[in-house]
Amino acid sequence: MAEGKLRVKLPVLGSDGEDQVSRRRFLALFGASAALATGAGCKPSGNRAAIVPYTKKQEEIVPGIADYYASTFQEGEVAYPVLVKAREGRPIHVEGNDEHPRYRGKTSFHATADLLGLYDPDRLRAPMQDGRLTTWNVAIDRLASSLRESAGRSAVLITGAVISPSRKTLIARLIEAVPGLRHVEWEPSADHAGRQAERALYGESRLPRHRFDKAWVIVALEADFLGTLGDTVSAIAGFASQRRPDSFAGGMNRLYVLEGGMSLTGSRADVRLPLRPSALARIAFGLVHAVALRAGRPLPEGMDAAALDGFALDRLPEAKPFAAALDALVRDLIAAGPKSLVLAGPAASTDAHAACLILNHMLGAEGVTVASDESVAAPVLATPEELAKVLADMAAGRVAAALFWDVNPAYDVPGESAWQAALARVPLRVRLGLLPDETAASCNLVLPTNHWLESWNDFETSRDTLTLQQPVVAPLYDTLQGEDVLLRCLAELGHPAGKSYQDFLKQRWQEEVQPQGSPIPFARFWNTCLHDGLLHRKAEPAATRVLDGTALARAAAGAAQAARPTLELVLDLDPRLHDGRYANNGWLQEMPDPIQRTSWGNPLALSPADADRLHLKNGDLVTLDRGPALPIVRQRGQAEGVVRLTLGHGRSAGSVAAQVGTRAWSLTTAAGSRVVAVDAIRPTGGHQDLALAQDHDTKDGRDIARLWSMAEFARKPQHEREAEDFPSLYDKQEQKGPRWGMASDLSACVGCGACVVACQSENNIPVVGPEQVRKGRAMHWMRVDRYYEGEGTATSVVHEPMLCQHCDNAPCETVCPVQATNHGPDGINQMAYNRCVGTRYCANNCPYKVRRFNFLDFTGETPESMQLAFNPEVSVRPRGVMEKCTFCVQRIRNAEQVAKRDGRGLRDSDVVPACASACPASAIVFGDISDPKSEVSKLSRSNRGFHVLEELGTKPAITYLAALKNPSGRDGGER
Amino acid sequence: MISATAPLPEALTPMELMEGRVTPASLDDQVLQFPARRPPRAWYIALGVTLTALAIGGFCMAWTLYYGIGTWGNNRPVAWGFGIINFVFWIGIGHAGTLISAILFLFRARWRNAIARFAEAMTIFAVMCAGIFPVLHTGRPWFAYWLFPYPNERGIWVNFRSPLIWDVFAVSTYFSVSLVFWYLGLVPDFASLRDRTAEGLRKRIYTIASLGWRGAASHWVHYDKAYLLLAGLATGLVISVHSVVSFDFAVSLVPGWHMTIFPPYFVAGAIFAGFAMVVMGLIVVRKTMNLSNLITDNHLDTMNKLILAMSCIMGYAYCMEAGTAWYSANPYIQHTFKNYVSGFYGWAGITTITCNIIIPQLFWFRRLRRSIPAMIFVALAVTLGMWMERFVIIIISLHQDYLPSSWHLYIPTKIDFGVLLGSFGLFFTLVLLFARVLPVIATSEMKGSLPGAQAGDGGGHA
Repeated sequence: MAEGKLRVKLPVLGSDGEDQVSRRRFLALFGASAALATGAGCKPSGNRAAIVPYTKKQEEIVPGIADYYASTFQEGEVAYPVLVKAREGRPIHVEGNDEHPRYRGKTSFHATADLLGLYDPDRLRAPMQDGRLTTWNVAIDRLASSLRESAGRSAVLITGAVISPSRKTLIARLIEAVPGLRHVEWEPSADHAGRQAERALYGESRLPRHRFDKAWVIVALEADFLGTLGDTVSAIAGFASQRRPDSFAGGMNRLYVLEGGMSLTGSRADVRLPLRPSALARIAFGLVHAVALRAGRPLPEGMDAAALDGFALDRLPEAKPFAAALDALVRDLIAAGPKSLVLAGPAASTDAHAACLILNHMLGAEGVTVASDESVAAPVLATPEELAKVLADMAAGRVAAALFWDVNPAYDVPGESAWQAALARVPLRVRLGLLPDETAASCNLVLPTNHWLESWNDFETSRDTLTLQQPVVAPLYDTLQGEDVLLRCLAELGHPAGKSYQDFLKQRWQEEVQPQGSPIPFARFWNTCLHDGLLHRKAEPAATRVLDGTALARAAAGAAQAARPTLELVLDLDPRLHDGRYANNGWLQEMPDPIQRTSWGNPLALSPADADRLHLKNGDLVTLDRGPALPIVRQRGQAEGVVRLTLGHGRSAGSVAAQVGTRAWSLTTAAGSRVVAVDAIRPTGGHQDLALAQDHDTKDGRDIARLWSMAEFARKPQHEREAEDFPSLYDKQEQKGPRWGMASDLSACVGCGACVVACQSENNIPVVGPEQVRKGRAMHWMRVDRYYEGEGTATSVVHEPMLCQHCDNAPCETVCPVQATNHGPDGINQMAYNRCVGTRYCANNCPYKVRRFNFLDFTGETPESMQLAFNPEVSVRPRGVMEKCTFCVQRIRNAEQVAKRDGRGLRDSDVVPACASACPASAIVFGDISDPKSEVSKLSRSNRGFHVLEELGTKPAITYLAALKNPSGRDGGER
Repeated sequence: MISATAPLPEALTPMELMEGRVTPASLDDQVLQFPARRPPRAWYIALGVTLTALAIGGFCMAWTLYYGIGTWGNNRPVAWGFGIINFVFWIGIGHAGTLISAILFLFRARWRNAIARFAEAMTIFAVMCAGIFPVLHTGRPWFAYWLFPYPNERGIWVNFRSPLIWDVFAVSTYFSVSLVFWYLGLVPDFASLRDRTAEGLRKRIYTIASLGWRGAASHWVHYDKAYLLLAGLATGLVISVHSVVSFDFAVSLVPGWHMTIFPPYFVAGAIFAGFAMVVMGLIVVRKTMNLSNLITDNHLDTMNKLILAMSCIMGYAYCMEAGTAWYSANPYIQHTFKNYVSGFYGWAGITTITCNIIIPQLFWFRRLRRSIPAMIFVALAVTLGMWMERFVIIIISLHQDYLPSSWHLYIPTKIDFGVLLGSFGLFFTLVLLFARVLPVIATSEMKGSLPGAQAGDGGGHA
């Protein structure tokens, strides 16, 4: 098409009467052909009236200038508002939407990383029927007729959690049109135990809203709220906001973590009690007992104090080793009252969850830190048992058609045989999804859906905010949004509900969302909402809930009887791959686990004591009672008798995902319990090298990442730090304009690794694969070092984001023979890739080891679709070239140009590098350190500030602020 | 004055430099016969072996160029691996030749005349082997010429602060001076060969190569002056080249590299390794080419004494380094030195000390200094030890530096070993070719030390 136009519109050079083509005219023609050639890259597909393919230049798209669109990223029951950066019509980076009051520009790194999902070369590109390509008309026809004929036998629609009001309405319409249709919402990763406890105690369940920013004392029982549990972004932001005191007097929250394995949350605990999950319920009720007894808080209505009799903490055998810590914990809870927050995670039993709910209730936290008044009803998710019943119905031949929409039960349902048996008797099995995954493999109608960056939707996760999702790019392939498939089905069934889902959504918003009698025309209302990506509404707080005490007695009785197995296997979500849905994402596979520091796989974590007993070292293979051989990793701080494995690995489909790690879903019990009793661990004698991003676990006594207790902090000077000037043979650097620098607060940093993903996306950092990671050749410009201090129960962790320090006296600059790395006038240590010969001397001489070398051709074979994810503002580096963090120099130059255009100087907040922008804890602050008034300067003068390896005289531009730990007792300080 | 009747002390007795009666004619016949004769079978077998090694190395180098440095074991933090080890090793091997031909010439050590030619040839070949590595180890070898400060339209200059640039100058100067020095010495011998050869291609080549040398007195005057000047120039280079190579390490801030003792320590190590290699070469040459009467046990004995002396200097340097690490109270440097002898690569450090310091002490015994098997044993040990020393310095220092989070082991690959093998293949192929094509002993210089060649005594220097 574009080529045809080119021939018609453009005169042949030199044939239009002019003897010679002037330079000016040549450039004009050259530019025009280049623009057309670019436009041809985005091809139109199907009937998409609303999204104009980029064959004609649109007014708002200027080549070289990025556009930003607000949208929303859904993950299970959480919806993160995002801002998508698009260049020349293609999305290239995802950040948080700063219009949202709760997220303030922060988002989950899963959203950032899922950009790759859009460009995944594995994606389904056209509808398939019985393994053969077909057209949408044929496919919809077959689906609709099968639904029509399903009368008598039922049809089943299995989706993920539906938190979109419009999607919910649409599904309701479909159920009206197809009477026998059953809708099942399946989220394998949901905290079923917690949901069950909530329903038992309150008679309903709501989407959790925890106010970590208001909590002074947080108690987490197997609750990894910083890593994997629900809305981690606002949890990290809230938690970190209470951990950055300017001075000792500033005060800080205190986090108690009771867990078996070492989670990200456990790594930031002030007091961490390594406990077996089976003990948690009893200890939780022990806390209830102690709070009730000591503070005299009344027990909830209907609960008899006698039910707690057996739970006195001093009589529980599990509590013995931690008596002092638990005593302090109880004191803290009572002192903090409503400002406490007690949480349990999926590995805690229903009874433990119940005890946590009572504790929050008794302490008055309900309505303060547990903001259930702001939350909406949770979707009714199927428990694993309920799903098993549906599968049994299928196996019994009672289901005529089954639709699997963005769920992958073939992978995440424990028993494979049940799944196979179920599918064998269902005549029509429909897959609505993005990728040819395990479920698609057993379906006879495979319908490719749009990626969320190609889709419309709305989401409601709190009472006061609705967020919108809008497509940023026309569908790359012949795909439809799942909702559009349903709409076309409805039309086929004689119940038309709208031309497209976009219209359906708009219509619903016009009728139901826009306030009645608003003088604003709907088009303006809609466009504003779309622009902002969200709508704030005044909402009545939800009704206060009444706790049913009688259910508690049952829970207490259950807790008393909880078994004490010899070995407990804890199955946690993978912080990177979630439930396995991101397993085909190279960025997330290569991202090191924040604690284990392993990438490409999920080794079985053993406590060092257990590993020693079995004479196991990292990577040795073992088998549990059943299942395959697994490599182990020794995990400091893990409770003895506990082994831990993450879910989400071991996919069998996907060019990236397949055969990486172990499928832990097969180890969950039929009831979906995340803790499984194990009889024995048997070493097989085999070994498999782990893809470790960090081999050495401790600081080796070096003062490179400071972790102070509050007591230590109190002994430090409580005034601004004065910069130390080390003698140097070199002249001072000449500085023109700002001196860019960074401050990184280790006390706020939780180590989640969002910065790593954001940096990878922004800077076109290649994925190198497990073999190269094992060889120590991962390319991450930004890494988060993790160091342990202490052993066993006294293990503490400090996370340290490490990136190019942009030293004033940079050791790399002096040794480069060709000046490929040199010093910019604004203090940036620059890297000219084109000039680099690759002697690697700079990498040797960098004491921070942040330089990355392209040992092989890591970028040359990037699949065509993945090349679209490249940021055009950053060079893609070839083989043999050194690279490293540039402080996102492209963003700096951009901001400088904008400021120049606007005729003003740079403002402090003008430049935000990708890492700082992504950090949910706002632990990274960037700016001009030569301006004493800038935020980064103020932080750099903090009394917690230090430079890493300052004694080498490198004069780094990054100041780290010491991590603080706020343990109770003698080591800690008062609040 | 020492009385004529009293025997001279051993140290003052002039060394017997040749065995039996050697005349200028017999010397020419003995040494210059080889280029005219067909080599024996053993020579072809040896050449087959070295060419095979060279072919394997060539394949591995081509593989490296095609796929990149990723085919080697290098990683982060060990950005330099076998490439730089081999470079430093081969540069070091070359030093013995220059020392023998230049410094010993200036010191009027007549015994060097018999071995100078061979040692110089080894210098040239070793530097050629060394020269492969800095280019091959770069990420983009096709741009390696950017390290030369040549005028270009982009106006980009090299970074004179970088020791790698110093290396470029040091090594290229060293190679050119060594080559000219060697060739200058060959000119009179080419003339002798020319005069001995019947008409033909061979004669034409010798005619051109001898540059019209007629042996006239004026030729000798100019020759002697030029030789003396070049010897003076090369003397400075013996010291400077390896000092500059050591700056690659000493100037950096890697713990274990950042040491002021590095320049003298590297020079001593280079001479040490070079002598071991020359001794090994001479043993083979004098045996297979029946030159034992010219390259005598006395020559080897003297060489071995020098090896012993250098070994002691190395021992001192190691102790000095360790002492510095201890005295510095610098935890990073102390950690590195602990790693040299313990930890994952501790065996490498132990091997280095054993081979370089302990085994050469055998040469305190005269009997062992004159025993061929003992010499071979010690020379092999020193060659291995000096290669391991560079492994210790480069790999062990880099693999655990400042931030423990970056520590990582280095495991060389087959390609690494293949390239190393290839460099040995190249070296010995060149040595074998040299031995058959050019005179391995400088006959013109030897004639100067024949009895009666010089007025006054039994002989003088050349």
